[in-house]
Amino acid sequence: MTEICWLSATELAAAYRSRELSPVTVVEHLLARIRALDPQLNVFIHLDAEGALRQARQAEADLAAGRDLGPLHGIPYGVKDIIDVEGLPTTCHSNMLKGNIAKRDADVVARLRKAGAIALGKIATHEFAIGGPSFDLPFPPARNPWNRDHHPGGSSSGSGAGLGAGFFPLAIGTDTGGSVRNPAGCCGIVGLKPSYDKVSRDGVFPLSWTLDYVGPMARRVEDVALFLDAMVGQKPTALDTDIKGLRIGFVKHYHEKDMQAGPETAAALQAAADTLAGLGAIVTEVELPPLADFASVNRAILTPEAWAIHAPWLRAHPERYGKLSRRRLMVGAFVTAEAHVRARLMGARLKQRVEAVFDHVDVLLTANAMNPACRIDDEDAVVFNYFQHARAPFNLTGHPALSIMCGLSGDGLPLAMQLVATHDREDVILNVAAAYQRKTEWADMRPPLSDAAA
Amino acid sequence: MPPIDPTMAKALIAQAGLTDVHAAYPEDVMTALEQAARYNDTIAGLDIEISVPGATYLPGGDR
Repeated sequence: MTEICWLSATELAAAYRSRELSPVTVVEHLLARIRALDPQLNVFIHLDAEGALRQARQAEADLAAGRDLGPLHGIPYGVKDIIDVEGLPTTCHSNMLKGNIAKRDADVVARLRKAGAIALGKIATHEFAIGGPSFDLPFPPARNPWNRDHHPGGSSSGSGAGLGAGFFPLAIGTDTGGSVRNPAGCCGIVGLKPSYDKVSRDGVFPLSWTLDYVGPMARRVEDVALFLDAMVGQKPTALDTDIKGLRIGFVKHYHEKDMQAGPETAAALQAAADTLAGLGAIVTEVELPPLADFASVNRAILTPEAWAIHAPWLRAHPERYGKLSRRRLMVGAFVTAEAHVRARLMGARLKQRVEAVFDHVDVLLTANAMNPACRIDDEDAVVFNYFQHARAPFNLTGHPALSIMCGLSGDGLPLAMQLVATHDREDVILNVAAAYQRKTEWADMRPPLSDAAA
Repeated sequence: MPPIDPTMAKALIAQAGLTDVHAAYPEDVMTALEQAARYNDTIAGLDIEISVPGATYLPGGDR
């Protein structure tokens, strides 16, 4: 059997029911691994070992007694620390909320609790889900398990890094400008930003309510589907890996003209398109509005909303924020009302233009990041690296978008592509991703960190 | 983009209620102000027609 830490949620669920494994064994194994390796990676802000073991014992007793809550019963997961779990800290990785204890579960956590899933603890983010890796916060930034000198993406940095390191099979992330898909791409896992409003944001600290999403992250596509079903409370998504005849629009100009992807990323994207064509999909090139338009519009919407949220705290206690988030949050104080209104009008137009493309294709294939993750300690490189991507359009349009690994750089860092479908058709991109995963080896690759695992 | 006029900057900072923050973190506030000016400038450069259903005599609209 595969080492416990690398088993998928789907495999764990089967192993519980065949009595090969128990929730207690799995949680104990993961806790030992986290204690051994997390000092190198800084994934956890708060590890709730006692609570997780208590829930694991309960799950074990329930399953033995035939009280089966479904496929997530006894499955451990990580929670980004802007999402409330009753009785656990919600710090948003900030001194501003240090010591804050959540009084109740976020909606999404309540649904997962009802499904029997086990929250292992609260995991790293960028401060208030904005900015980037920072060294002036109360907790150190998470590191990339493929190379700890590099950033893991963000802002759901702990979610990506923890999955990549084998700390848990599932994690919740949030995504306002790509914060699920960025760490998913950097850490070689799968991350889905669902359709707008698909997953409840109740109990999640907002960054920009117009652009915020809560999404599932996992190492395998089938686990993302399983996790999304539980987050939403919908019937299980049946994955169909037959994609013959499916129309895929390859948005090449995003990484060839609007931005310049590095040669390894460009080659990996072309290889992914060829693989999908080889599976029977009809791949054609399509054009979307320029990336720069989306970036401008998103910033003029995001920053005033974020400022409106933070203004009272930031005016009174600027010292409780890190430099990066303090600077980024204050931008919204100076974006004019005219710019904000014009951005909203432009946003509506961009949304219509992207939606119209889905009259001709079923799925869009685009770049995720233009390059693999850079070093975490090079502030200028991180800023450049973070802004070189094709994720922002779909926060504005509301379309579901998924990141999946599609290559490995010469330096041993993951490369990723993005798949997008029309509203509420997460099933279509999950099918394409599952077909791709089945045909390729990327999902089975492990970071070198695993060699040092207990 | 031309640098922001210091008098204008001071007025904008005061209007945003950030005078004290500016005193403590001048570089952070100025960085944010300059970034916002770039965002405002970019949006102003986009081709966006302000249209309000049923309204007449809007600048740039059908007279």
